Amino acid sequence: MDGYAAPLIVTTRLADELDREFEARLAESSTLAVRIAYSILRHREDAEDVAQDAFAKAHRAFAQLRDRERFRAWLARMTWRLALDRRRADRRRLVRELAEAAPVASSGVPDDLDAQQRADALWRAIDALPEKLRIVIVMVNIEEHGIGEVARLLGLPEGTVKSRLFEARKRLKEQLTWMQETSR
Amino acid sequence: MTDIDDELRRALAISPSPDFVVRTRRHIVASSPASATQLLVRVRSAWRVGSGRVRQGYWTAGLTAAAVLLAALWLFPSRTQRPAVATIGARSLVAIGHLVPVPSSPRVELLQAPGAIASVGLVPEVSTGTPSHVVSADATATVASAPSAPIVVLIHPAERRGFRLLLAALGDRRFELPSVVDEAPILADAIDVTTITGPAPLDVAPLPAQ
Repeated sequence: MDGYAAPLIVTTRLADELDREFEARLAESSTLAVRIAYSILRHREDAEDVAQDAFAKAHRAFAQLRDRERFRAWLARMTWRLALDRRRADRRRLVRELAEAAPVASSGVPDDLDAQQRADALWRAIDALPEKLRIVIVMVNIEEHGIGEVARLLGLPEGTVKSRLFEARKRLKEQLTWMQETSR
Repeated sequence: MTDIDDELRRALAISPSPDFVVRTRRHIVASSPASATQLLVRVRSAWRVGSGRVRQGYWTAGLTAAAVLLAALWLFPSRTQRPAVATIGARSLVAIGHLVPVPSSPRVELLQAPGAIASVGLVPEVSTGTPSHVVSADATATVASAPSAPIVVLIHPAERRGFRLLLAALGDRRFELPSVVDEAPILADAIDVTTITGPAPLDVAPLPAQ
């Protein structure tokens, strides 16, 4: 009887171990996933939805992930992709809705940039960056990741991360300066 | 570190809601694939992770093959799904579920339920995709004598081994499955409540007179 049951017991035990391991990963990587999604969607609930989808997807494929140490990198890329997809879908819907809605009068350019406006300007500038630069500057500023950590998360050489970070900062600075000047 | 980084860091300093992990767990459970698929995944993972110990022995191979078969049946039910419909008088006797396309017709038995009719033999020719039915004379007489009685049809346990079961209901009435299950504890494990929401039955011609 033991001979019959042994493979099932082993299978169940391994599945339980996988589930426990996944739960631990889920707890430690929640903030990362939510922040990555937030950096694209800028909406907390949407970001959490996307992060949940990413975890669900990760859970389905977790058993096949050979190098478990790569989980965070894997999750980060998956979340990034899902958030981009979500934003594209949202924009398509928004365009449709705006096309159907009556035109709204412009409120004009504000005289000064307060904190909220500065943040909005920053996000607009970040959105204008090419994706490969954008993901680097976002990842560096999530959970205070160092260059090495970002390189591991993105699967890039550290030198590449540094140069992209430099380029991203330069472009952001130019863009924000330009925005500030045009708003005066 | 620049001002831009400071600004961005502040903007990104959001934390998940306190119940995020709990909600995510629920979300994962809700969006998980069917249990047969999970079984397949788990067996595969066992195969990979514990390859040194688990790979030996034909029991594992047998279990894996069984899991693959179950998963295939679960994932691709449409290939074997053949709603079987018979018309008895003015009422429809409907069986919905995953029938097996075997050349010999599966034997079908009536489940004794409160108010149900005693015995109906139903033989759907699922292999050809053309439902045809044979209803015994006794059953026809019983059906005729109780026009409002509900009918539940189950494939005989010996025939439906390894497959999910079909339930039937009469006309526009449908059984409360739990009560049916209570009446048939032996078959209860084979009844999947979700099958009651299967595809609409085929519209077939009335049975020829017995």
